[in-house]
Amino acid sequence: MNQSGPLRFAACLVCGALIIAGCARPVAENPHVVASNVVSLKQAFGAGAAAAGPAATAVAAEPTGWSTLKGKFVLAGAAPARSPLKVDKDQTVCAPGGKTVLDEELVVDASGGIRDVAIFVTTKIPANDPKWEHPDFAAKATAVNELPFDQEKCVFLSHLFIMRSTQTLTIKNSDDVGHNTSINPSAGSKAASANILLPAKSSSTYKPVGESSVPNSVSCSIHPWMSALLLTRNNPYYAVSAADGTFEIPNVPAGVELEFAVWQQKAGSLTKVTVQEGSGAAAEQAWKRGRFKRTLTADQPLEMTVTLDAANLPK
Amino acid sequence: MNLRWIMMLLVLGCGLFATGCGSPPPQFRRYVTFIRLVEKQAGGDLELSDQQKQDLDEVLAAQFGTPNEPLVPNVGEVEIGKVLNISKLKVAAGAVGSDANDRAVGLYREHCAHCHGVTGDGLGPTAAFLNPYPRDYRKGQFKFKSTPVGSKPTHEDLRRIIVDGIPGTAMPSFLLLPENEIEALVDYVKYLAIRGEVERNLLNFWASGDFDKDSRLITDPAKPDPEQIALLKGQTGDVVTKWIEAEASSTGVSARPTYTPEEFAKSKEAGRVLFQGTKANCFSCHGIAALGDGQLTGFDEWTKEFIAPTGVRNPELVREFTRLGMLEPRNIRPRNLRQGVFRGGRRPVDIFWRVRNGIEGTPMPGFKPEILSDNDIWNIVNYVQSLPYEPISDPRQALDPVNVHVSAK
Repeated sequence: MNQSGPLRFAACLVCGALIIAGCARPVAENPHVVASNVVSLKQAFGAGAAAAGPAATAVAAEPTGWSTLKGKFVLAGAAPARSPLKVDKDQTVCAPGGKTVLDEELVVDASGGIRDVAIFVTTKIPANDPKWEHPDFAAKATAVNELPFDQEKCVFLSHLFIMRSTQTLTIKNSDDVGHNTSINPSAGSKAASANILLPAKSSSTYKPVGESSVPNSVSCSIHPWMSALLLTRNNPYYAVSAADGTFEIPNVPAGVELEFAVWQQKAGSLTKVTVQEGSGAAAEQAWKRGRFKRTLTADQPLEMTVTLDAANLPK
Repeated sequence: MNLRWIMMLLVLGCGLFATGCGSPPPQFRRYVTFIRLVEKQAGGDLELSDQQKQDLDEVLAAQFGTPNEPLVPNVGEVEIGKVLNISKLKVAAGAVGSDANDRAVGLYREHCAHCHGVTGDGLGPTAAFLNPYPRDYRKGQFKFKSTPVGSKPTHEDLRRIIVDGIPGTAMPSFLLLPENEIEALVDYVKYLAIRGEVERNLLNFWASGDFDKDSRLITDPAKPDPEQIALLKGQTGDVVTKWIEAEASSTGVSARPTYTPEEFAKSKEAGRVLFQGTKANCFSCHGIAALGDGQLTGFDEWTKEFIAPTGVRNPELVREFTRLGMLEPRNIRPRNLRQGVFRGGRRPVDIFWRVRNGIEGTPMPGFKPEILSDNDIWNIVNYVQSLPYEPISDPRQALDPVNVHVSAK
């Protein structure tokens, strides 16, 4: 009996300790969140939109006229080979005579000109302001796009298509087989999604409504190898480089600093480039997030040749 | 005897100590796969810092609360009360149990979370064992609804899914739950979908190139800048607005014509011609015999955006995103229409909606009225509904050796 004294004492100690400590596991707060920050943010969100007011959008400078930005995108070095696409359906229409269809991620012509490079103004342009929007553009702001977005032999004829988000796009199917045009907004895009069936030799329409800064993917689920890109912009200042790499944006507001973004499917945002402007010398430039700023002079077109080194392309 | 007592107490104490009781409250999980997608799309060397991710968590917590304490975000003039109701959310949220009035609470965790996950990310503990995988609500897209592609489902659409279940999948019917509990769950699903989409939209500031690697959602969370708050509030407001608009965007359906038996046969035949022709092109995915064997390599949008941005499965991306917790991607199968199992419901109106509107997030396109009239679609519906009853749709005919034996006699 006497021997069990210390044991009893120890047991009491253990029980006592347990009772004092409680048996719930320490409650872990969300490790990513600082509670006091959440409280202050809650107050701020609860305060209503009153404090919001129109953000200081008063653009100090106003355009002094119109200018043109034009130029050419060139690839220096050997272009990576384009891989053949697997055409495993409707071959008679899509690959007549066993023709190989190549992917269009990066298409370069003999002179090194890069096709389908998007260049567009990212500066917020005041809407419906005749100082900022040339009457030629204003007239077509909500029109049905003149160029149809066409497909023939199971290839989208415009691999990269840019339009104003206020316009309506005509989607056309010139083939003898049915297609469906599935438009899926990429991350960061406010364009509407759509998935429209187009019977053989027919057309339909699409209203993007929202703007995007990265092209949205366009595909056809009936012919999964078909792919194209659609960029929708609120302002009319954009261009896609032609087969020889040249582009031209006419009637750009001059006298104000504008930010331009440059994007190509294979390269993504163009960040490391060599730029040669007007009669100046070529210089290497680093474009943060594929963007650069320029102030154009009224009625003096700015011409630039942008060279991308093939070694900088992602593998 | 005393010693035995003490030993028992000791064992009990040790057991309690080792296992503990209670567990930490669950938290919403970060959208790690989408964070990675955004980083890749922004290109260059973007990698969101811990601070930037913490800002995101805090902004979401301030607007939406936690799984135990949900909040309805304040979005100014947008009438969020039309979409979310805090008292309903509170019934669905939290731990499973009952309140002081003996009403069940914690309904989402009781009925849904084991598959759809506490965050609504479709990554609950059982998710990996299901085919198809449970829906990830965070994209804010739902398949079976009465509204066109690009619109949210209506309240009634989500309610119907919960009440009827989805035939041919692991989603059961909750018909036996009381009405108020179903309503609470519908609101909670909308809550998780809105929260997830807001999370995506905030990350999209980086994806679209508007933010760079030093940008923060909230520069100083302790003293928030009203301008930044207004911007963030606007993002939430935009998502909520789409849900409000959806309530009025249900696609109208003309009454199904009444047919004499001869007319019905003609309608079915017209449906077959459309199904197999290049006007409706149903055959190109569902197969000429409607066995669902026409197009087997596609992906749905929940999968495609991560691992097949150009439509072709990219094994490197599969490795990268499955490592982040994405489930092993599967191809989406066009429905085998001869089985008579229609996931979005088998009522004629359900099939009409599927054809007219398409199925959001899948390769199934919609048909505009200028391409297929209501009557054309009713013909297709009649044909599709008749398929399971055609003799060749009976699997026993082909597979059961007994039948082969009998017919051989």
